[in-house]
Amino acid sequence: MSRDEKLVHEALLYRGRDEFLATVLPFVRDALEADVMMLAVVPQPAIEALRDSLGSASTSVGFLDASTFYEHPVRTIAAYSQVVTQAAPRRVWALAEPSWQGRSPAEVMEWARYESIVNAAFETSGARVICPYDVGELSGEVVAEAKRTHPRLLDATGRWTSLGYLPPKDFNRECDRSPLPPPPPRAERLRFEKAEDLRGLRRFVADYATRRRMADSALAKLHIAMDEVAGNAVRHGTPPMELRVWTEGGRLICEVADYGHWHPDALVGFLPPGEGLGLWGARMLVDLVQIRAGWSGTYIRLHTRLSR
Amino acid sequence: MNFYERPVSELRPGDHAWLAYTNNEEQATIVGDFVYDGLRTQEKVVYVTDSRPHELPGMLSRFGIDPTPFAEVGQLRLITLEQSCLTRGRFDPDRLLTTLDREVDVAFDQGFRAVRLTADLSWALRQPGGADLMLGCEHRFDAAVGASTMALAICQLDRGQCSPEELAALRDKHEVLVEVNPEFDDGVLKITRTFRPLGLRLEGELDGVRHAVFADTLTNIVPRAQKIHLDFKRLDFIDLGALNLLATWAMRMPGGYGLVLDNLPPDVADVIDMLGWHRFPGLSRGQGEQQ
Repeated sequence: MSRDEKLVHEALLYRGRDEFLATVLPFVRDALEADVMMLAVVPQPAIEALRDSLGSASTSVGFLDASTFYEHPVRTIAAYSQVVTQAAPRRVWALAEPSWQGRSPAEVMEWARYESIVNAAFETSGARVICPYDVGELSGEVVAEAKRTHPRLLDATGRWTSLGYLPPKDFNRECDRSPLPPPPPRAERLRFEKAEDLRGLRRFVADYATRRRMADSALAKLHIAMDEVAGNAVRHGTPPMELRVWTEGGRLICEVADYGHWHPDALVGFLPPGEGLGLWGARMLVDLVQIRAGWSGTYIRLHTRLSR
Repeated sequence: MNFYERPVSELRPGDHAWLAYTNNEEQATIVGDFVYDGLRTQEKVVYVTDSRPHELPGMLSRFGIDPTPFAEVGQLRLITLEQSCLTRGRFDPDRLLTTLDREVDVAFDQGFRAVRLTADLSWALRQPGGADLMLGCEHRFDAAVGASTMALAICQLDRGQCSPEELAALRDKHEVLVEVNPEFDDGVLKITRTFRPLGLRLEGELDGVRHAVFADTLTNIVPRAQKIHLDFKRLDFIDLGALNLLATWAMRMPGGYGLVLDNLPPDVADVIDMLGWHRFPGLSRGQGEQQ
């Protein structure tokens, strides 16, 4: 890897619009001079402020509204991968400000995980990314996580190395350290052991999901994701295998459990695969996939929202 | 008239089926099975043709048999056009009906429990007034076969010899459209060859248990150096492994060829959109469905 292929991934800690513009405008202007693809994926008010400040030069910047772009961490990584691939041989520089407001603590953790995975996913892309964090508005937890997911930090006064930075695999292991709460007693369960049983699992999930009025399109994706995960359990797991299904907080949760001792890579299924689809495909198709694997067995939970 | 499609092996006495074949291979596949099944199950086979037994569609190419011995013992009867349906060189539908009536009676007297009748009348359509003559006799033929407890028939036509209007008019005279037997059918997944466009129709659920048979069918049936269509209209489930398998297979096709997915159900199209079509470089959207 030559030096300039390395990702530069920085968190900008700013207070208010003026500080934001004062720091990012030089970055954007450098990008326009460097003939790279400049992308600004930021909230709508920031898009407008940038357009005003840049004037006619703003036509060379690709603007995307962060409120719709940051809907699903794994899909967002895939979308950025596409951008990098399509831009090649040009490099991509980006301002990337995920929406943090209104997210539950669990969602905040998934988006922090996303920020961490960016370091692995684009490690050799040559991209330069500044992720603005409005420290006046955001919670202390969100800002603290930013310091652990970005190797470098900057503010109006300068840049420095983030001492709290954790490599993505370490950060991910930490995200998945606590065990998942056990399924509630009301969860419906079905044992399975061989590939021929997967069809029965699909029926079982369809029946359960239809009773809870899950949309057909969501069920179709859940079917494929569940089939993939249960198929992996059949191929690599240790019986008894069991599917558990329940609803919780407006979501249908589908857990595949087996007694196998699987030690997956901490980033399994987060990065778009070179070939094959596997767990990445499952992560793309449902709202959230949680994995816990250890000596007590392997548990994979697929979350699908019941209404949109 | 309402019509329904039926694989050739599921034709039953009383069925007056229609086959508008796209090429010799489709004809050989369907008519070959029709004749062969009859010979195999001790039914009488009556074929209006000027061909000789070993020239009948599919006999040598599909089954590697020369059915001449069956003709010698009378189980297979080939009747020339001259003997069956020509009057002074012109197509004579009355004569054809009389001939076929007589053949059914003969088969009955010989003790056969069923008699299979077939003729390729593409040539008659090209004679002056041929289409009208044929349209005029189809309903009588339909009535004759439909009322029979032992006769089943396939009317063959070469699609390339007919206008779309003639095809539509003639098809409407038949209740049953005969098609090839499925390449595979285990009650969960059915795979059927299609000839127009060239490819396979998938019905049911294509999951991990069925990857191997699907890959084998693709490899054995489908030529690589062509654009191949897969009809997904009645496919209720496809797993990630099968999508991957399609992509891998398509990648090995020569440049410029690929797999075209026709009638993609909206849910499947949505899944591929979400994963990204660029991950499936040899696959493309075909016609129908998807939104």
